[in-house]
Amino acid sequence: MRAIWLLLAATTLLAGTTSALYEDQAGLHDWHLPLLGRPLNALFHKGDTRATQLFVLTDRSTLASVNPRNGNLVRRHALVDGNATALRASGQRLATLNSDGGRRLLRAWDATSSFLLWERAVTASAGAHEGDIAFTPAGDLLLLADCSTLHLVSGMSGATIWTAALPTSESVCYDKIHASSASARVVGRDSKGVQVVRVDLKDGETVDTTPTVKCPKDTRVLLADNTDASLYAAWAVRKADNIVLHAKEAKEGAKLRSHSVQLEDKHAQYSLKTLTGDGSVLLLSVRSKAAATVRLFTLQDGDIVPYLQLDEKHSGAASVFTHVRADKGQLFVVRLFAVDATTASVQVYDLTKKKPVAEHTISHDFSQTGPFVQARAELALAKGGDVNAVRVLATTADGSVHMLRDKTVSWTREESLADAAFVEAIDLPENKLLSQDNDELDEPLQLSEHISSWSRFLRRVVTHVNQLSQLVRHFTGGDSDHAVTGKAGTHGDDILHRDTFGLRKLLVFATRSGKLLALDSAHRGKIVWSRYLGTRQESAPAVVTGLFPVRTTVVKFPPLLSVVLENALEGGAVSTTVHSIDALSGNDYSIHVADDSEASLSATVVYAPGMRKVYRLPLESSRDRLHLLAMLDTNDKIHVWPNTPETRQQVMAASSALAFTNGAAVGSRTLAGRVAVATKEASVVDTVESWKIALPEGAQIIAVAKRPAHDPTASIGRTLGDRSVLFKYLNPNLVAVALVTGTGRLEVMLLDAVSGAVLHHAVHDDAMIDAQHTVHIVLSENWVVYTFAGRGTGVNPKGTVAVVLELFESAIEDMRVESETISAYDSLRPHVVSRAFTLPYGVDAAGVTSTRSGITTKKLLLAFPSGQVCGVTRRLMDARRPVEPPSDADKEEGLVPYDPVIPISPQWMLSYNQTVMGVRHILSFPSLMESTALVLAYGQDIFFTRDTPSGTFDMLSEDFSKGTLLLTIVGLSLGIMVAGPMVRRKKLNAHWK
Amino acid sequence: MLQPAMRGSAGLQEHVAFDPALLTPDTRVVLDNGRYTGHLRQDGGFIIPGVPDGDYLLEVWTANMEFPKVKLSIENGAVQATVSATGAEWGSPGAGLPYPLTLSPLAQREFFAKREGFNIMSLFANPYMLMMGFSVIMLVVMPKMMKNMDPEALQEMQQNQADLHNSISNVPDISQKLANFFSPKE
Repeated sequence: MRAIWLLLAATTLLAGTTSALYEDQAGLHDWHLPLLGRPLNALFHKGDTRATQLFVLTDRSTLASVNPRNGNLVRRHALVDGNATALRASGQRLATLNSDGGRRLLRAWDATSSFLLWERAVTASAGAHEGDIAFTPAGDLLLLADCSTLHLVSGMSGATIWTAALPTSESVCYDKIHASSASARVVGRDSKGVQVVRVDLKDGETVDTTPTVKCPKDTRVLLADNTDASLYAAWAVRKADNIVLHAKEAKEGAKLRSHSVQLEDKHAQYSLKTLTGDGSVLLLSVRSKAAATVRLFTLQDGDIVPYLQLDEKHSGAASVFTHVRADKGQLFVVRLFAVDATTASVQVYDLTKKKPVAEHTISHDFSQTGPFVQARAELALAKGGDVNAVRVLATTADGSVHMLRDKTVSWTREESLADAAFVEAIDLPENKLLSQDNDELDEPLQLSEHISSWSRFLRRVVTHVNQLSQLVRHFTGGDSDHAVTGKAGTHGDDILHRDTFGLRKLLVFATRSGKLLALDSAHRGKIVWSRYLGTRQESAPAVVTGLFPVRTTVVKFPPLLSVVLENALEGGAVSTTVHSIDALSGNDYSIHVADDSEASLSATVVYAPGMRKVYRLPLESSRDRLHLLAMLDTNDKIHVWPNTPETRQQVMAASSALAFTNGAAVGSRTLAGRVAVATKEASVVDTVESWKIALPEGAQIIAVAKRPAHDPTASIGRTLGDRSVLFKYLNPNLVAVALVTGTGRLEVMLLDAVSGAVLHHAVHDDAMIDAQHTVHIVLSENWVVYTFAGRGTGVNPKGTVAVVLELFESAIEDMRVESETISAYDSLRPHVVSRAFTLPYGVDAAGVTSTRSGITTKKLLLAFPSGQVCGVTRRLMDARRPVEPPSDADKEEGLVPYDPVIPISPQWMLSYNQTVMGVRHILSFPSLMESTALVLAYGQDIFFTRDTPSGTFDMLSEDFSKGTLLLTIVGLSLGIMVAGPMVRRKKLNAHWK
Repeated sequence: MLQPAMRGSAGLQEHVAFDPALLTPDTRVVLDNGRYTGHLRQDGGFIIPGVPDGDYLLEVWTANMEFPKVKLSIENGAVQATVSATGAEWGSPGAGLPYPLTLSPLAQREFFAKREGFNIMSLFANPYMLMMGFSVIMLVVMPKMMKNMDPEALQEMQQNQADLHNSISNVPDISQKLANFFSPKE
C-alpha cells in the first residue's frame, strides 16, 4: 500500500519533469534490431504445414523461428540456463537441450505457436560432454545425458518411458545417438577406438555391444553406409607419400577396408570429416603449399569408393559442404565456396552423377563478411528428381547469416551485431562543410588565376541560387531534416551530413571477431558500410581489443577511427595492429607526406609482439589533428601511434602529466598506476610504477567505471533550500572499482587514478555475485551509482540494491578548497553522502544520460533481464533524500522524502512493450539540443532511442498547433481592422458632443 | 526411470487466469533472477524443473504484465510459498500461498501517456480564461450595479475610496527614501 502511495506521490511530483511516450510516438524516435547470434544449428523444417519453417539455435542460447522468405524474426526464446547445445525437429515438435553443469534441460516446443509443450531437468555426471538428443521415428525423444545414461522420454508429455545404463567399461564415453526404427544405436569412444551399443527402443534393454574398432584418436570419424544399416569407423593414416583411408564396420568379425590417396607434397596437411549429421559421405581435404583439394568418398557395401575430387582455391578459404536427403532417400551434396573476392558459387551434386546437377554463381562481397564457415541447404525437387531450386542458409566468419536463393542473396541478417563489443557514435559533418561554397573559398590562388573572372562570377551566382533554393525548401519543409524524427529529407539522402539538431549519428560497432559496421541512427539502423578485418585462417582468428575515435568531424578532415586488432602468431606471441579507418566511408585512411616517410601514416600499422594495452592520450597532433594512442608493452614502455618525430616529442614533453592505470578492468586481480617518464632514448617513453593497491588474496575486479569522455558540468555546486551551496567534488581522474573478495563480499572503492588514493571504500557482506547477479557502476560528475544483488538475509531484502554516492568538497555549506587548482597529490578527501535503495527488478546493464551542457537533470539508465530499458530520474536516485520528515529547506530544494524502494513506473520504460534481449551496455550521446539525450543499448539486441529527462523545454511541443496560432493572429488583425475605425469614429463623435 | 533432477525438485505448478493473448510465448517464470527458469505453456501453466533445496525469489518476466513476487522455500522437496514484495524483509515471510501456485497479474503495464484531446472544459478551466471572463463580467455588471446603488451609499463609497487614495499618497515613497539614503550627504 505504501509503495502505491509513494508511486502516486512520486509520479505527481515528477509529472512536470519526466515525459512519457505517447502511443503514436512509439517507433518514431526509436528503433530496435532483434538479433539472435551466430547460428550453431539451423533446420529447414516441414512440419504438418506445407510451408517450410526455418529454426535456428544460436551461440547466444536463443531459439528462433525465422521467416525463410524475408529473414524476419517470427518468434524467439532465450534459453539462458547454461548453454543451448542441440536442436532437433520432428513433425510439429521441436526439441532443445541445454547443458547447465550437472543438469540437462530438455524442452519441447510447438513448431507453430512456439509455446512450450513441456520441459524436464535430468541430472548428469558433469564434465563428460554436453549431451545429445534424437527423435525416434515414433516422435519420442532419446536423451544421452552423460557418458553412460540413455533416457527415452515421451514426446507428448515429457514423461520418462525408460532409463538405461549403458554397458560401461572404464574409459568408454558414449556421446552420440543414431536413431532408427526399432533400435537406438549409441556410439562410444575411448582413446583406443570406437564402440557401438544397440538399445531396444521398447524397453531400453541392450541388444548387443560391438567390439571396439581400434583406430587412432585424432582423425577418426563415424559414418553410416548409404542404407544407414551399418555404422563404420573411418580414419586416415599417413604412409610415406600416401594417405591411407581405413573403414571398419562396428561388427563382430568385420573386415578392414582401405583406400590409398597419393600425395603430391609430403608435407601436406590433411583432415578427415563426414558431412553433418548422419553423413554417409567422407570428406578428405588436403592442403599443401602449392595446392588444396577436397576428395569425397562414399561407402558401398563397406568399400571406400572415391566419388569426387575438387580443386580448391589455394589462397582462399575452404569450401563449405552440406547435404540434403530427399524424401526418397536420395542424397545431395551441396558445396559453397568463394570463386573470387566478390563472387560465391553453389554447386549441388547428386551422389549418382559425377557432375553438379545444379550450379549457381552469386555475387557476394567477401570483404564485408569474411569467408563462409557453415551452411544448411534446402532443395526444391521436380518429380523426376531434378533440382528446381536451391536455397542455402550460409553463415560467414563474421557471424552474419545470408540466405542464398539460386542466383541471388534473398536476405541477410547482420547477426554479427549481436557480438558487438565496442561502439562509437560519430558526429556527422555539417552539410555546408562539404558544400561547394567551402571548396570555392578554399581554392588555391594559383588555380583561381587560371579561371576567367566571368566564369568565377557565374559559379558564385549558381552557388547562391542553390543556397537560396535550399533556403526556400527549408521553410516549406520539403528538404529540412525532420525535426521530430531526425530523418534527413529526401534531398541529398545519400550524403551523410548532420541534421539541424544533431540527432543523427553514425554508430560504428566493432565485434570481437573483427567486423565493423556503421549504422545510421536516423534511418532505423540502416547499414551505411561494413567491413571484415578478421583474418581468414581459422586457427588464429584476429580479435578486436579496442576502438578509438582519433579524430572527430573537423572541417576538411573526415572523422577517423582506430581499430586495435590482436593477431595470434606462431609460438603463442600476439602482434598488435592499428587500423585507421575513415568513419564516414569505412575505407582505409592513410596520410602521405611527400619527401618525408617518417611523417606519413600508413592505414595499418603493425607493432612488434608484446603490446599489453592501448590508451588514448589527451594529446592531439598539430598537423592532422589526430588523437595520439599509447601502447604499453610488457616492459612498460610507451609506443606512440602515429609514430612520427613530432608526436614522440609531444609525448615526451607531456610525459610528466601522463598517468596510466594498470588492471582497472573486469577480471583483473591487480591494481596499479604508472606515470610516464622521459628517457634519453628518443623513440620510446618509459613508465614507472607510481602506486599499487594490495588487493586481498583471491580478490577479483568485477566492475569498473570512470567518468565518461563527455561529462560537462553546468553547475559546480548544489544549491540548498537556504541558498547556501554544497560544492561538488569534481575530479576528472575519479575511478570506481568493484571487487569481489570472498563469497558474498563486495567491496567498492573510489580511487584517484593519478595518485592511487582511495577516496571512499564500502563493503557489502550480503551480496550475491554470480552469472545472473552482476555488479554495475555508473559514474558522472560527482555522482556514483552502483547496483548489486542482495542475498536476502534477515531484515535485508533479496533483490537488487542500488547505492547512490554523492561527492562534495566539504560537509559544510559554502566551504570550498582554498586553492585555484587541485592537485591529485593533495590530501584532499571528498565528503561522501550515500543512500541505498532497492530496485524491483534485476539489472543487466546501467548507464547515465548525457546532454550537451549537462544542465538537464540526469537519468539513470537500466536494462532489466526481462528485456526492458528504463530511465530513472536522478531526483529519485539522490543521496540527499531526507530520511526524517522533510524540512522546509528540503522542500525548497525539491528533495523527495527517502523511501528504500524505487517504484518503477511502466511509463519510464524507454523500450515500452518491446523486448530488448541480452543488453550488456547502455551508452548515451548528446545531441545539439540540451534537452535531448540519445540512448543506445546493445549486447545482443540493439535499441536506440532518445530521451528528454527534463521534458522538451527547448523545443515546441509536438502537439503545438501552429494553425491555431496563425488563426488567432489573423482573427486579432481582423478585429483590430474592424474595431480601429469604429473607435476612431466614436472618439470623433465624442468631440462633437 | 528418470531420476529427479535434484533432490526435492518437485517442480512448481501454476495457472494464470486472464486474457491469455497478452502473455506471449516468451514469458518466463524465474527463480533468483534467472538462475532457474520455467517457460510458459499455452494453457498458462509452467514448471520450473530441477530446483534444489533453498530459498528463492520467484518473478515473472513478461513485457505487458506486472506480477507479484513470491518467496519459495524448498526443504526436502516440500515447497512453501509466501507473498513477497520489493524491499520486503527476507527473514520474515509474508502470508502463505497455496501450492501449486496460482499467480494473477497485479496490473497491466501502461507504457504510454494518454494524449489529452481538445476539451472545452479544460479551456475554461485555464486561469487566464477565468481572469478574462471575470473582468468581462465585471465590465458589464459593475456599471449596472452602480446605477442601481443608493446614491448615499455611492457617495460614501466614493468618499472611502478618496480617503484610501489620500492615505496611500501620504505614505512616503520608498524609492525616494532609498535614493536619499544612498545619495551622498551634502
